[in-house]
Amino acid sequence: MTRPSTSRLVRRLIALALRTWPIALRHTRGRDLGRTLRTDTESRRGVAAGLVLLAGLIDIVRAGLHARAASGRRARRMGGPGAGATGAPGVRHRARALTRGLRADLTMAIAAVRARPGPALMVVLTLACGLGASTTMFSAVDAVLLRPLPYADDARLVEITEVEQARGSTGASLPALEDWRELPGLAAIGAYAAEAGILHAGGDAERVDGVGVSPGFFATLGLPALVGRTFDPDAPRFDPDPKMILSHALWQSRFGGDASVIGRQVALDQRHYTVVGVMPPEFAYPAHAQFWTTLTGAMEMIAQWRSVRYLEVVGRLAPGTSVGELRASLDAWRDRQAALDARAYAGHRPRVRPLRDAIVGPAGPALLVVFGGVGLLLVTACCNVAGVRLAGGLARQQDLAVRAALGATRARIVRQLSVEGLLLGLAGTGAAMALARATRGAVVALAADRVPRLEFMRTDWRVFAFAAAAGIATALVFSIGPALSLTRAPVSGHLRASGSRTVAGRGRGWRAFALLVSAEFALAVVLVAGAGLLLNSYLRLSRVDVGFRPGGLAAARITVPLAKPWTEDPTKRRFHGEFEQAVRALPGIRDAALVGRAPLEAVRGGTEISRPGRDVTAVPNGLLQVSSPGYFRTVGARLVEGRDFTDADVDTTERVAIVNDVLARALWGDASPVGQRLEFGYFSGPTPATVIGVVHRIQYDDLSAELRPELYLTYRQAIVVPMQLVFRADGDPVASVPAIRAALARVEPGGVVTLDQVTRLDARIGTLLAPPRFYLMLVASFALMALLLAALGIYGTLSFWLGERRRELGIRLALGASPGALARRIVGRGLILAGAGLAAGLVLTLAGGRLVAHLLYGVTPADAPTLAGASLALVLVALGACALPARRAMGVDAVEVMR
Amino acid sequence: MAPPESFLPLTPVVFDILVSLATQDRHGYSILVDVRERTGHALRAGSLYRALNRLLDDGLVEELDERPDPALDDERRRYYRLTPLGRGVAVAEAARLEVQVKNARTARLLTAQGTPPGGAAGAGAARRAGWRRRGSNR
Repeated sequence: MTRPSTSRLVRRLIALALRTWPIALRHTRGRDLGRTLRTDTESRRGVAAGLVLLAGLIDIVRAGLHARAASGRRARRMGGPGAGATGAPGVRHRARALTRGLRADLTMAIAAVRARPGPALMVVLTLACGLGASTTMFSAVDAVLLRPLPYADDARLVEITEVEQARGSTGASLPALEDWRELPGLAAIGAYAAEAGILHAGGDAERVDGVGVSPGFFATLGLPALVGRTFDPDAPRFDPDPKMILSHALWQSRFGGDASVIGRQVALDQRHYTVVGVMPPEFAYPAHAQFWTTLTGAMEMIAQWRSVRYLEVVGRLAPGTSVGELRASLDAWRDRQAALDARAYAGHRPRVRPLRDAIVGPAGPALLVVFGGVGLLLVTACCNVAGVRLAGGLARQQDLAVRAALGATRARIVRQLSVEGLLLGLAGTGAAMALARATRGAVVALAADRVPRLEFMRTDWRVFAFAAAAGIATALVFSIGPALSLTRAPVSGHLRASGSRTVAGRGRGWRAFALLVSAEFALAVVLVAGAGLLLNSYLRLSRVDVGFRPGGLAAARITVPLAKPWTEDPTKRRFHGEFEQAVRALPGIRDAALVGRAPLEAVRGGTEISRPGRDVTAVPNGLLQVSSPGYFRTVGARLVEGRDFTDADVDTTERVAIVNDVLARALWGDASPVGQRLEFGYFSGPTPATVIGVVHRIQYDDLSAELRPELYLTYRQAIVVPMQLVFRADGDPVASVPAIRAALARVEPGGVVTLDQVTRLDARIGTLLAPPRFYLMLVASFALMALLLAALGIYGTLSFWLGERRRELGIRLALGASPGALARRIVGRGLILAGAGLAAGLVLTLAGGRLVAHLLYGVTPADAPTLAGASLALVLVALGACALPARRAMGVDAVEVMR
Repeated sequence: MAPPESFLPLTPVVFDILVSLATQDRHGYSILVDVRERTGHALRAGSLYRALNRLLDDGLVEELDERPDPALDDERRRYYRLTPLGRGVAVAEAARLEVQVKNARTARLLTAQGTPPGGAAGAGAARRAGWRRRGSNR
């Protein structure tokens, strides 16, 4: 409670509550009271502070009411002794009067709704749209960004890493981890590195993916094991007796949820671990980890190098330390290290961010943009409802005037109208909750696999609280505004105008309507333009040249054991060659090949590639790929120049390479690279190769990833990295998987090698397109609703205006105006409103454009065709909405109206 | 000046404040904390200041010009002190309460140790009763 903004809010709230006090008392004691309550609030933390503040505010108001009642009584009694006297009767009386009054208001409100159900229904439906969409989005934002992570005091968890800008690679070295452990800003620190292996226990051989973790990992996150224990934070870093903790899912699927698994030996490949615990299902860090082991000593030697950045680090901030302070001390650490070892730290900077940001990633800001969009929709709905209420109020103005003349105060009338609004607001809230509940499943289904934590979307009390708060707030806004505007004029005017419809609420009503409708249009422009930009960006993304033909193409992960003789390249080459041949021979398989990373697969880091010698045109972030001959043919990539690898390119012949057009252009410009030599960074240092071909680039990583320089080697001349099988089948490639598995079993019996993660490439494209499609569909539906509301608004306003002016129009007709001129007048009015809104909306769109820029691909926020299209759509909608009132104006019968 | 007895009976809040000021001069927050620690009841700032205002009006409490511990405190804070009349009223109320408690003992409502019948379970009930009492007294 010590942030300046919070403390200002506390001051405001106290000042507001003190308004209930009699002036004299407020002046003598108010300031000191405020100071005391603030001290009291600030002495607590978190929820407790909020509760103290809330109780304090309620008490101030109560004390204020007591004091007012008591001072009234004292005035009557004139100076009796009274320190012990209390004000119960007066307050009770007041409270009872208030309840009675509210009950009367409620009865009248229900009567008013019954008398004119049309507008009320309209209001509730509009609110259900606006509030329903907002509530659904809130529940998504709540799940992704607000709900606490399942770890103790999760706000203090941070991700720390070292970033190399040039290659976009991240990771931390073991010595860095040791240094960071000493930083005063961190209470605890832990690290993990990917670990995988083939599990034979409890079923068929299956590859499982998990992490090896440092001893402090679990203590840092602070969630206890479900069964057994987590790792001892004081254990040695490299455990001579490796231990394993199972994820809840793996425990269920492979060990039948049996608690006696604790203490058992489990083998991954030929590495043996003792199971010591099982984590609860909500522990999902890192995401999808199936097990956690102690770090093994295999890498102990090279792990001591500062340039080997293979760890992901999670830290817990010490109490009172901010992320910014930790960042500053990390930067200072980096500068000290760079002075000692310039080579290991060249181009590297530490990065620290809240763990939630790391988990949620880019989905967080995107979701906030969409939430902002729904906020605009809610305001539009609010404007619309205010318009309906204003029209209803103007129609009832004489009724209100009579009540005022009979002695109802302005406050009393405003209160009654507000109660009516509140009733409608509550109905809208109910409908919104129902809508949010109904759409939850659809929203989760649309994007749960690509928006982290979206699966936690619920329609629980938090969401209900939001819906109720938003509903009540909107109800008050759309009621009090019109109510104040309606009750501003003197009573007599309305009474005198009784009977004649020409005078009542003339200019005033119009101005308020014009403002509301223009605002609606402005907001609709922003939403429609936003949806247009997202659509434009989505279309571009879905038409990206991926460089391969996805139809019938699939990729599957091959895992060989991490044990002898499988650590030797000749063994792997023999197996991969035989397996590839066996798959190619299968019926229904058109082609098959091997590659390190299949198209559109995530890529981390990069390799420096240059011409031999000192070369200034070197690329730092090349993608080094190991493939088999026929890979390009299989995926349908275009060989622009030269030849593919052949089976004759083996480890005894000259090392050859194929480059993509991006790399060719970067190193040799327009000259042909075929026959040229290059050098690439490899395990053993810079390694030369001769270029034999140029391939048109293939898209890796994401659809929107920048074009990367790619360098291909054949697996017979390179270290055999973990490989993927890519194959093209007639029909659905997934249907061929059993046959492929059978072929694998023939080549390598006994489940020694596994094949999993089979993905169709067209499905992978669909998955990558899912988030932008998700945001597009959300914003587009908001835009459609806003457009509808704006159209209804302009239609309603013109209809109302027409109703007010029927007499005037009749007179004009009688005096010789043509019906067409009247219609033009109506349409002109409508277009003025729409035009004003359009201009304001375009300004808003341009101003807010940079907020959505990070969601766009290939389009700028100020994209002129998109904005023009949105404007055109709005003008057409406005024209459509004007048409009906205009037709009605043409049909006005002068004689009938004048009578 | 009115005799101390004319102010009786006091509300629990007023009595708590007077007792709090009987030991030393205090500022508002200090009274709040002291009452809370002594009685376990959460005295709210709003009630405190409304009661304080009456006590000032009636001359039972006065506001200090000097600061008892300037080193420790925000100089804008106001300090309050019990007047001789206030002390008298507090003594009179304490005497009145003592008679009432004695009567309650005679009627076997309290044991000698002051534990309400019902033992440990009575603590919650007493707190709830306190709530009700505070609610209905005003």
